[in-house]
Amino acid sequence: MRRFLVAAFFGMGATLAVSAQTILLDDFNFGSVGFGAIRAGTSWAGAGNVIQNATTITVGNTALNDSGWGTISATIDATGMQFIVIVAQVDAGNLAPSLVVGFEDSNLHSQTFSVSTFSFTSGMTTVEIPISSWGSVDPTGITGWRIGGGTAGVVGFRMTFDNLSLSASAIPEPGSFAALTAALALGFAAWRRRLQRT
Amino acid sequence: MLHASVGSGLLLGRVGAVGSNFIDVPAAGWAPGDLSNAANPYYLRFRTGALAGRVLIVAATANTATRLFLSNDGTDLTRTGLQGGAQGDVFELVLADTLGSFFGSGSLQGGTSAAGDSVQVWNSDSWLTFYYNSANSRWQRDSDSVASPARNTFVLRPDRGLMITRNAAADFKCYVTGRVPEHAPAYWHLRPGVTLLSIGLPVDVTLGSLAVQTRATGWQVGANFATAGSDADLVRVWNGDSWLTFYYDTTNNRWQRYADAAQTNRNPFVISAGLPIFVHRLAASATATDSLVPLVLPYVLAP
Repeated sequence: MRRFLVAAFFGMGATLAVSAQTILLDDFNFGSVGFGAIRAGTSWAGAGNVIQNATTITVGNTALNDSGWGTISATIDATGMQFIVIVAQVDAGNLAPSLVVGFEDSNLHSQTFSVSTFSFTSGMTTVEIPISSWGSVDPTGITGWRIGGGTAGVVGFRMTFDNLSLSASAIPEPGSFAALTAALALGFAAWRRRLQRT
Repeated sequence: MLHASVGSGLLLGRVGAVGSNFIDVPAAGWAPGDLSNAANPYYLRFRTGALAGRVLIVAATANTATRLFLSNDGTDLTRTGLQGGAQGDVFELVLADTLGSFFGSGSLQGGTSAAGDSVQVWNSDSWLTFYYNSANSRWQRDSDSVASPARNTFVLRPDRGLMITRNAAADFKCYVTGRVPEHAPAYWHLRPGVTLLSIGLPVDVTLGSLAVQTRATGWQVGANFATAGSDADLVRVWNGDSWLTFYYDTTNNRWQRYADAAQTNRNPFVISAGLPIFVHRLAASATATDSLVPLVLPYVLAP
């Protein structure tokens, strides 16, 4: 029985380890290097349209819903990644209906993933976009990504970004963590009782 | 414009069988790897059946003598109504234009990314900008270094538009040879998303006659000129220095311009021949075929 419980705990640990498989695309922190930046030629490049905060960026002012933040010098192997995870909030005055994350490979094949901006609230929200298909993009050789409204610029874009990453599995809801913790506690208590009897 | 078919093996035939991203044609006689060669890219256009008028780029996966892999734009071809067999849907294979084959080295002004003319291709959420680098004698992306691969064989999809920014003082005159469509185009577009769509017709059309609100499945109409930019599907047309944004208004049952308080009827607005349009779709597609925009030929060709 003891051996079984250890195996069960090990299995849960392994599951948690798999859940933790992520690739950070951008933490949006002040001073971070090697992540995204304002993309030249977009509306976001206008003076005061992107404000760098300590751990976030805020897009506003005259910025439109084109995709104004990203990089074309990434080296990403996204094999096994199942979700795009965005931590962000919608700010007052946003008119952009969609938030779009796009990826490209060295052959400039492109694939985009879209989510309604209504999925976000005025407080920091974690939103996951399932990666249903990479299309013609080679996920083992992603060389660039960008984020924004995904158009050539139609309406005002107002959002604050805190984190952007790829994940191999869905991030459990806080309730799922609580249930898992309770199950572990119950299992441990049962194991202690059985140990004391023997 | 549509080029005449060239190449070896069967270039006009019927689909024998279909897979998610390939077709089988038993008597095709293609040279293995010939049609999938990046140096000479091909596209396939269906002439009959449920996908009549749709264009699919031949994928990089090497073709065999009888099997051709296609870039399916994310739609499983087995779910599109494509028919195989003795009465299978008819297709044709056409050599695709590329930056190198269409523009060559001298038709546009080369130089640096700043001084040269640029060709922009919409890659579904942003622009890819190319120019002819005179020093390296090749097409490059504006961000490319000398170590980057040449972009000469970057495919210019026939169902997509492109934008040319001219830095040279003289006009750029572009004569394109080929044949006009004898079958109505039915071009795939991104849902949700933004597509720079070639209308594919050699004649002017109006917003009213184009009528994408009735031809494209699930077109999201708007009821308020002030909010249509956020809550309606859109058509955008370049007017020389900016994009004009239109939506289909349900209050007046006509095309209007977004943010136009006068709410002028834009059904007669002319989209000149050769001009592409941005198509903005808010909602996702529900089936494998409702991402097509089937157009109607506004002319009849003499038999």
